[in-house]
Amino acid sequence: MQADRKTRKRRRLRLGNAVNATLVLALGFITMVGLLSPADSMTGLTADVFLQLVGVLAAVAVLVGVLNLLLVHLGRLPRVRKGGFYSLVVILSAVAVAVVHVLDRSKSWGGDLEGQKVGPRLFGVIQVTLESALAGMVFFFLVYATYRLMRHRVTWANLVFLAAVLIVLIGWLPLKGLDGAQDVRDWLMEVPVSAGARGLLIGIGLGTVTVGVRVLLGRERAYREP
Amino acid sequence: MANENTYFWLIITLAFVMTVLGGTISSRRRKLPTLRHIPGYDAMPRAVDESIESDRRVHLSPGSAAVGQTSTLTAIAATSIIYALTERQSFLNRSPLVTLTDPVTMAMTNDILRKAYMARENLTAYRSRVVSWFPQGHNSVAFGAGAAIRAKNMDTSSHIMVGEFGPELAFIGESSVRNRQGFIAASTSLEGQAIAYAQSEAPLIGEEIFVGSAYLEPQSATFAGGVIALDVLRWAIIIAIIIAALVNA
Repeated sequence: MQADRKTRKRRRLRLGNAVNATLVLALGFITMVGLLSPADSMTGLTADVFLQLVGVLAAVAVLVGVLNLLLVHLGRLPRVRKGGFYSLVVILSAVAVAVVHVLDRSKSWGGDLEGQKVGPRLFGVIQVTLESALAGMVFFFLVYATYRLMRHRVTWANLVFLAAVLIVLIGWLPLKGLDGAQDVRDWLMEVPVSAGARGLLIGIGLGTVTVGVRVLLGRERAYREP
Repeated sequence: MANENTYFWLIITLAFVMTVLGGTISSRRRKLPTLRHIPGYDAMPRAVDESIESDRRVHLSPGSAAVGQTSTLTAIAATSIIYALTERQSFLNRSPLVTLTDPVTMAMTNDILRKAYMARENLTAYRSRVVSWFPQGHNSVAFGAGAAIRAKNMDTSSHIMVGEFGPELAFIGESSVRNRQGFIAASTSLEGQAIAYAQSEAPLIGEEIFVGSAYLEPQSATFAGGVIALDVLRWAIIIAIIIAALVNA
């Protein structure tokens, strides 16, 4: 009896997989053909509608994400635990951003701020500054990573990597007498680095195509039950 | 424009035919092709096994790969890897930590985790809250800093970062060194890939990100077909570049 139920459940799941795969295959092909057709053609317009639906879905997902984030942090507040203070900061920041946005939209600012948008200015002052400061540290992390790389394993690839890092760094030094290093740096950037980057990007493009084909064949996990 | 479309359809058709043919032949011969050794895919199951043995979590992330944007297929490839690695440890009650920046990908990842636990009939152990969303867009340094701290607080043993990352990947790599955690990374963006190569103990390079399913779920003929298709496409492009170079010489 239980075995029968399990078999029926499995069949139902397979039917679900078939429906999902058919939907994805049909919608995927229509969108792909539409994107390659003129914008005012029937397939072009249909693809446009599908893409707009994706935009709406993404907007709803952002809303769900924000609610989820607030719920997670609100849940952490009553318990006195590590990181509780940061949760409070997140919640207060979210409320402050919402309030500032409402005030921006209703043009309620007075004095020097009259007629101005405070939200983007706050974003520039806080977020961009913080991100720039953090980005400045990436350089030091990378130099340390190169040192560690050589400490763990010395291979030809690692030696080439180290040599490239050194030449590029020396090439950027604004000192007289380093014209040779600057020429080598320019050649490195224009020839091998550019060729390698193109090779990587072509490979990634081909990989994307094969994953796309797998999606169109209905073999991806995203819409298939185990 | 007509030419670009022709090339596009040619590549798609070739990929389609090779995936189907490769998969069909492999499953009929009941012998899957032997895949070349990729250190990154050897290290991933090992990292999960170590996390199981040490009763700690593993940190998985597709980064800023986002469903509905240009990185949709990267997000899908990354979630396939997340599925395979989660399924490996889904008999336990301890879930992996997943961090990302796109809310649609968050929904998809939650579903993928649910399926991984369902595959081992241990759905009660699935927790949706282990998927952490850092509301920031492409190449967010704030994401790197936040995810690194979250991973530390949740006692993770390794970071497996496969998806789209920029310079923010350096923070997580640095945090892994400080906290003696494993670090395996790959990115579809060039900046992220450079950092992944320098910091990762077993990096993946370029298109290797997209063959994760074939390596981590080696019993699937379709995934093996995808690898064959990728190899054929790669050789086709190499031959085309050589011919074009000779013609233009």
